[in-house]
Order: sequence, then structure tokens, then C-alpha cells
Amino acid sequence: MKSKLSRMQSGTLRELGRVAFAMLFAFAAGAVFLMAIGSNPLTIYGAIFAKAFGSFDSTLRRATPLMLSGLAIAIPLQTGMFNMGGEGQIIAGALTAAVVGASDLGLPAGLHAAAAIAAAMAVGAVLSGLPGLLKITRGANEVVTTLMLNSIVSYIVTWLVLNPFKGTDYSPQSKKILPAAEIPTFGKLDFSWGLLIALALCVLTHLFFRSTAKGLEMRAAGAGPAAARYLGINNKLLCLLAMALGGAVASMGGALEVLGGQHAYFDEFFTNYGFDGIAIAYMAGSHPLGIIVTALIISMIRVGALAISRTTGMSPYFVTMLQGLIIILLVTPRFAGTVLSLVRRRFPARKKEEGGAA
Amino acid sequence: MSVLSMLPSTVRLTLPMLFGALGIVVCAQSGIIFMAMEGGLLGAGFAAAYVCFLTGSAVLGEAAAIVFGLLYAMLLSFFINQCRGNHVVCSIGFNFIMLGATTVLMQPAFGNTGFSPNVQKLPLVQLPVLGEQSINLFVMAGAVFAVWFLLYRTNWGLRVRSVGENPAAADSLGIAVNRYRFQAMLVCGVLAGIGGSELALGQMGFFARNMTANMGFLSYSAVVFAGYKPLAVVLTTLFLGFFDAFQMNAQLLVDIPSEFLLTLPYAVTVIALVFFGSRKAPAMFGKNYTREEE
Amino acid sequence: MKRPLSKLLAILLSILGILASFCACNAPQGDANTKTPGSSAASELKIGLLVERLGDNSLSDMLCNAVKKAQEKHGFQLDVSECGSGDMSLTLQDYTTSKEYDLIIMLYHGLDVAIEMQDDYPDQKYMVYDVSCEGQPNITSLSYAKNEMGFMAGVFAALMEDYGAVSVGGETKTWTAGDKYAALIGVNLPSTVGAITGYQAGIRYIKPDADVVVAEIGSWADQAAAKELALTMYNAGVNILFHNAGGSALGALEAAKTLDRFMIGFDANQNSLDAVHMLASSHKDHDAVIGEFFDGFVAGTFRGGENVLNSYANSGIAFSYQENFEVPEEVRSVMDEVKGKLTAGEIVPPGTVEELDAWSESYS
Repeated sequence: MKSKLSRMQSGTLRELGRVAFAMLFAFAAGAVFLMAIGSNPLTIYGAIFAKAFGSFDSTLRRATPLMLSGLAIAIPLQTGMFNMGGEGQIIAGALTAAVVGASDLGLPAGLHAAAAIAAAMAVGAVLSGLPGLLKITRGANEVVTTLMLNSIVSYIVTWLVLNPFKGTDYSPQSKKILPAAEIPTFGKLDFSWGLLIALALCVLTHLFFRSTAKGLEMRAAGAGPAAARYLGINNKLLCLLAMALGGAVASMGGALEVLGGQHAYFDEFFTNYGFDGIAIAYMAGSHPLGIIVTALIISMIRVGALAISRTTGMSPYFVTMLQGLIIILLVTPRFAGTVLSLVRRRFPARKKEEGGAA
Repeated sequence: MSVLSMLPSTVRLTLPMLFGALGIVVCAQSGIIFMAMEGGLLGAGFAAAYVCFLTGSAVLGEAAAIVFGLLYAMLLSFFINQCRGNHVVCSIGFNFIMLGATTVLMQPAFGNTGFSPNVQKLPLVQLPVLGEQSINLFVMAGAVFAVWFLLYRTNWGLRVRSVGENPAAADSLGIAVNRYRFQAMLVCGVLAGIGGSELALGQMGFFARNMTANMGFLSYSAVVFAGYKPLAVVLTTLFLGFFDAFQMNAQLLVDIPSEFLLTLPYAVTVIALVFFGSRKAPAMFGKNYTREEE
Repeated sequence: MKRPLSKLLAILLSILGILASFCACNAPQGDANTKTPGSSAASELKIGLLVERLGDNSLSDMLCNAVKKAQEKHGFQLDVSECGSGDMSLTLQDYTTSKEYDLIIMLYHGLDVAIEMQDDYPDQKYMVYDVSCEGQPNITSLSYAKNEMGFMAGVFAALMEDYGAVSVGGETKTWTAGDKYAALIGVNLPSTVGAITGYQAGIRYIKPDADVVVAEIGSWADQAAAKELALTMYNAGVNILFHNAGGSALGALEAAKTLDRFMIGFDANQNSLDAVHMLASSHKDHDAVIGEFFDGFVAGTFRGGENVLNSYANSGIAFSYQENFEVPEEVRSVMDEVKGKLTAGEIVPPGTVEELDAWSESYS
């Protein structure tokens, strides 16, 4: 009879096998593509990883908003709501933080940054709360409303940064924030205390959903229609709350990057962070601690992508492609099994042991 | 500036979106969330432009785009139906893959990282009210009818819809759930192919990096807004296309900053959803089907 | 929660495994840099170039082509990267921290990052193109008098509109002189607007009561939108269209071809794009300006902290007519006269909307 420990070990090994298979397959498929267009996969992958690990501080910096973008999906998802508005929420939060950070509020360091973050979170909560409200009152599909809001927010933010909040005459960016509003970096390293804030938030979210009453209520609300009916109006409010939290967290991600990294809002800086967040959340199974890992993975390849055009001449969009492959393969649990069973069906003569990959 | 004068632009802007939306409708009726239309249109457009570039024939380009659409749908179906992948995330992954692949391939295929050379466009026709339109307009009319007919007047359509509503019941009647979903996706793939070809060859006569610019997501929105019905989707895509054309004209007449006008199609969609929001999706929308014995 | 965690552990281990294998296979790039800029042979110089978007015949392409021509002449090494404003800071960091480059050239969207990097990397030289930057010790810039470029185009448009006929490529098209003028902008940045205010001023120089409509496409690469906007403008009675729209302009050209109207090119000499519908171009002489810059740089000159403004005064910009376009004598004579005044500094076209308003006052 298997003990609990050995069951866990064989479960882990099986998972390991599945995941390793998926990752290798993704890289291999990418390598085939590269070879088909005449490039050397080893050079390119090498460049990606050399940069991702060589500038690990940049990787950490980029992972900060990505983690929060993942949480922005995962939190509402617990109640069954889909927040696809991460793109818009992040940039709205970033601009808000930049504007508050650049205003002379007379606050000391630390408080000024906190005020900027709080303002950003408020904006984000509204941006995701509104679709949430429309869903629970009018049944408006929140996937569509949040997607639409992405575009709306994007255009409005662009106008804002070119007009009232214009920073320079030659590029679309806001004014630089006051030193009091900056989040300090770790010496010469690229990342700031924002990273710790993001990590803390992931841990807090995990604890919230596992141990607090509110968190457990939310999970129940998302568990199924029977639970929903039972909980009635409370259920709807919980969904709304979860959506608002999701938006707030996404906006915080934008704020942390502006306050700790760029020190101003640059238009188009956060392109795709929202969609990356969706992938990050699902790849981690919506587990807040897992999101830390998957955010790091995405951040690594995104940072690595920046170096490949300089050192290898390959377009950085290759990494976009690789990212898509990884995303797909990591969220299809039966990929390894299906491929192997197809192989088995093709080559029946091969003897495979019973109880191989399911 | 009358509604009539904006009609040609509206139809032009709507056409590729409508093909995409029709494809999404077919998938949705079978319970598949096809958010990968962005990647489908982009890849199909690339295929169409590339083949047209090589052969000089726009019709061959459109055919190539259809072939691409079929392959694309088959691959996505493998991950969704065989491997039980999450519809939304797999779709997003495919969108990334196509964006990356088409951009990387620009240089080897066309020798230019931003735009393909100008290629032969699809034949254009001059219509009385609608102005100059691509020949795909007629294809589109046929497609709308075909999709409606297939879904609501054939046995095939009945089965597809039953798979979307209650696959367990359908399965017990001997209907192969995943097979019908696969077939629905193939139809979607063909439509995506025509849509992409229309975008690249019908309108512009070249392929540009990331030329879909959110059209795939807009067509998804149009489908939701239309309650997942093929005939209603014609109206909703026209509605979106109209507002796109409207904002361009409005820029020349009023002094509102263009960014605000550019938000019009999206804002209007949200407002409309508030009023017509609670259309029901097929019951199994987005869920994978696994037989209990497995 | 055991399954998700073990899955994540698995992911982490696989990543590390793959990393290890690839890192082992590939030695890191980048040599120790012991070169002293300016004192070594040209072929040992390594230049980095960060552009925004290649392939649409606009600024990035022009800069890239010009630098490559200089490369052919001098033989230095060149690395080119395309990056949008989102990735600019990390990409520029990547270039700077590698310490491989004697000079890094960039467009406007890298300027702020470059200024920040100066504290940590005081030896890195930067050149910013098409934007003016002064006072930064290791940054030099080359900019252009866009207001003058727009002005010449505006004068031309007004003169031609009045003249009422165009003979190009053996064919002639006529119209009744109207007073509708229009221009397209890609994105409404202050630096973009300079060309357009110059255009508006140029038109009012000839016709003080003219009406100029300016529309924004919203993107430097949305040709479909540009085409629709241009169609609307032509249908409203505009005969000649001007633009500062980068890659989007190709869409406007499509509209011109469809309706058999005309355009004035901007930024690069776009006359080669269409022999009939592109009447003329108000363009920068990228090759000459970059060429001159590199002649100096290779010889050791680097004007850190200064901006070189290219205008009619130093022939950095030009207005070129389409081949086989028969320029009417009366038009040509006024154009030459205006050019002379610009060169001499007698006319200083407005570069901002406020200046334009003041200018219009003096002409009404």
C-alpha cells in the first residue's frame, strides 16, 4: 500500500515528466522553426538565456508588474469572473501613479509613493469594477466589456499623456515624478522594492483565499451554480469585490513600475502585459504562489528577447512565438499523454509498459 | 456627411471582421470559444499575401489563406479537443504564435520587416450605393446564408448545436462530440482564411506587420453582442464598422480630439451590451467534454 | 494544493535544466572593449542603431539606410535593433551596458533613457536623430527645421491649387481652384505638429483665408485608417494632400491613386512611390546629413552637448519635384523666392499652434 509520501512523489514525478515534455517540445518546435528559416537555434536560445540570467535584475524588475497582472486575472477567477482588462488597468494605474508622483503634494518620501499607489489602485478598481457591476446587474458579458475598456482606456491615456499630462515635447511621456515619490532600487540593480511588494501581495492573496472567511466565500461563489444560488445577493457582491480587487492589483503593477523603474509614464511601455498576465495566471492554475514562478518565466523570455536582435539579428518577435508555444503546452494537461498515445497507435509493435503516462 | 456616404467605408471595414465573426459563431454553437481569430486572420493574411507575391494571382492567395485557416483550426482543435486545453488560454497562445511567426517571417518571405511589397489585389467591383468593394462581398453574402443554413436547416447543424448545449445527451445518442466540434472549427478555419485574405488582398494589396490590430477581438465582441447568432452578427459587425467609419469622418468636422473619437466603436459596444447584455451562450460554451469512462 | 505546487516545481526544474544546457553551448558575446573612440581606424568602430520600425519607408528606414551608406564608405561595424518605446529603455540599457559601442544612435524615444544612463556610463556617446538635445555632455543631436519643410509644402500646395492644372507623366489633370486644403498626422506630438503648422502658414502666405483641415490617424502604421481618412478628404474637395504620418502615409497614397488626386511627400523623398500621384516631396537629406556626421565622427569629431539644426540655410532639407512633372513657371519662381527667404532667415515659419495663431494675425 502506497504511503501518502510516495503517492505525492510519484505524482510529482509524473507532473515533472509532463511538464518537462511540454517545455522541451515547445523549445524543440521553436528550434525547428528557426532552422526552417536558416537560423541557429542554439545561438538564439543561448542569447535569450544569457540575457535573461545575465541581467537577472532586469528580469526581476519586469516580473513585478507581470506577477500582479497574473493576480489580476486569478483573483476574479476565483469567483468565476473573467477580467481581461489587465492591459487597460495597468496603464491607467501607471499614468495615475506618474501624475500623482509628479504633483507637489508636500508629502515625505514613502508617503508620497504610497499615495500614488493608492490612487492607482482606486482607478484600477473602478476600471474593473464597472464591468463587474454591469455583469451582475445587466448580465453584460465581462469578457467583452473588459476587452473593450482596454482599447478605450488606451486611447484616453494616450490623449492624457499628450495633452494635460504632457512631459516632453518630443515623445509621448508624462513628467518625471518627484524624488519623494520614487520607490528606491537596490543599489545599482534594476529592480526596486516594488518587487518585494509584489511578492508580498502574492503571498497575501494565497493566504486570503486559503484561510480567510471572505476568501473562502469567494471561492464558494465561484464554485458552481448551486453554490451561487444558495448565497444569493452576497454572491453577486463578492463577484464585484473580486473584480474590483483584480483591477486594483493590476493598476498597482503599473504604479510600481513607474515609481520604481521608469519614474515617468511612457506611452506603449506596457504593451501586452495584460495578456501575458492571462497566460501567467492560467499556467499557474490560478495559484498565487505559482504565479510568482510563471511570471518569472515569462519575464525571463521577454527580457531575453530584447537582446537577441542585437546579438543575433533575429527579430524579438520570435520570443512572442515561443511564449505562445509555452503557454499552450503548459495549460493542456493531457498534451504529453495524447502525443504519446498517438505515437503508440502509430507504432503498435513497440512494447510500452502498462501504466505509462496517462 | 450622411449615413449613406459612410456606407462604402463601413462595408469595407466590416468585411474581414464579419468573416471572422461568422467563424466564431459556428464554433460558439458547438461550445468552443474561438478567441484565436486574431491570429487566424493575421496568418491567413500572411499566407494570402505570400502566395500572391510568389504566383501573382490573388485568387491563389485566397485559396492559400483558406488552406492555412483549415490547418490553423485543425491544430487548435487538437489542443482544445484532444488535449483538453482551456479554450481562452490556448487561443491567446495561438494569437501570440501567429503574431510572432508572421513578424519573424516578414524578412525571409518579403525581404522587409514591416510591409510586404504590393501584390495583386482581389478583383474589385463598382456597386451603385456601396461604391468600390472587393469581390469577397459576394462571398460574404453566400457565407452568411451558408452558415445560417448549415446551423439551422441541416442535421449537421442540429448535432453541432446539441453538442454545444448538452454534450452528454448528445453523446448518449451516439453523436461524437469532439468530432462535431472539430468540424465546426474547420468551418471556422475556412471563414478565417477568407477574412484574412480579404484584409490583405481585398483591401490593401499588401501585408503589414500586425495588420489585424485587434480586429479578431472586435469580431469576438460582435458575436457576443449578437447573442451568438449568425444573422444578428451581420448587424453587429456593421454597427462596429459604421462607428469606425463615423469616427474618421467626425475627425474632419468636429474639434474633438481624435483619441476620443477613436474610442467610439468600443464605447458604443459597451453601452449596447449594457442594454442587450444578457444573451445566453450555449450551455457548454468554453467547457471541454470528457466522456465519463475515461 | 499539492498538484499545482509540484507542477510548478517541475516547471522551475525544467527551465533550469534547459538553461544549463543552452548556456553551456553558447559562450557569451561581447569582447572586452579597449578601443578609444575616434583614435582608431574606422573599421574598428562599432556603432549601435536603435530605430523604431523598419519597412514602411519612413524615418527609421531613412536613418537606417543613411547609416548603412556611411558604413559602406567607412567600414565600421553596425548593429541595428528595432524597438518600440515600450522596450526602448531595456534595449538601450542592453546596448550601453555591453560597452561594445563607440556610439549609439537612436530616435526620439530613447532620449530620456540615454540622459539617465549618462550618470552610470559617462563614457558612452549617444546621437539622437530628428530631435534637438542640448546641454548633455555626451549626447549630440541632429534635428531638422520641420516648420520650413511644411512651409515650402504649403506654399506649393496653395500655388498649385490656384493654378488649377497638373501635368505629370504626359497627362494633365485640371480642376477649378478651390480653397480646401488638408493634412494628415500620424500621432499628435508637438514635434509632429511643427511640420503641419508650417504647412498651414505656407498656405496662408499665399492665400490668407484658406481653410486647412488637419486629421490625426492615431498611429504611425495604420494604412487602412489613413486611406479612409484621405478618401474622405479628397471627396470633400481637397486636391493636394500633405502628411506627417510616417508609415501610414502609404494608405493615403492608395486613396490618391483611387481618386486620381495628389499628395506631397514628407520626411523622405517619396516621389519614387508613385510617378503620377506624388507631385513632390518636402524631405530631409538624410544621406548627406548622416554622411557628414560620420565623416566627422570617424575623424574624431563629436559635438557633445550640441545640436546641429538642418534647414534650408545649410541645405539639410530640400523640396523635390516629381520627375516628368512640368512645374509651371509662375509656381517655380515663387517657390524659389520663398526658398531664398527661408535660407536667408527672412521667413521663420511657426512651429507650434500658438505661433501659428500669431502668424495668422499678421496675415489677415
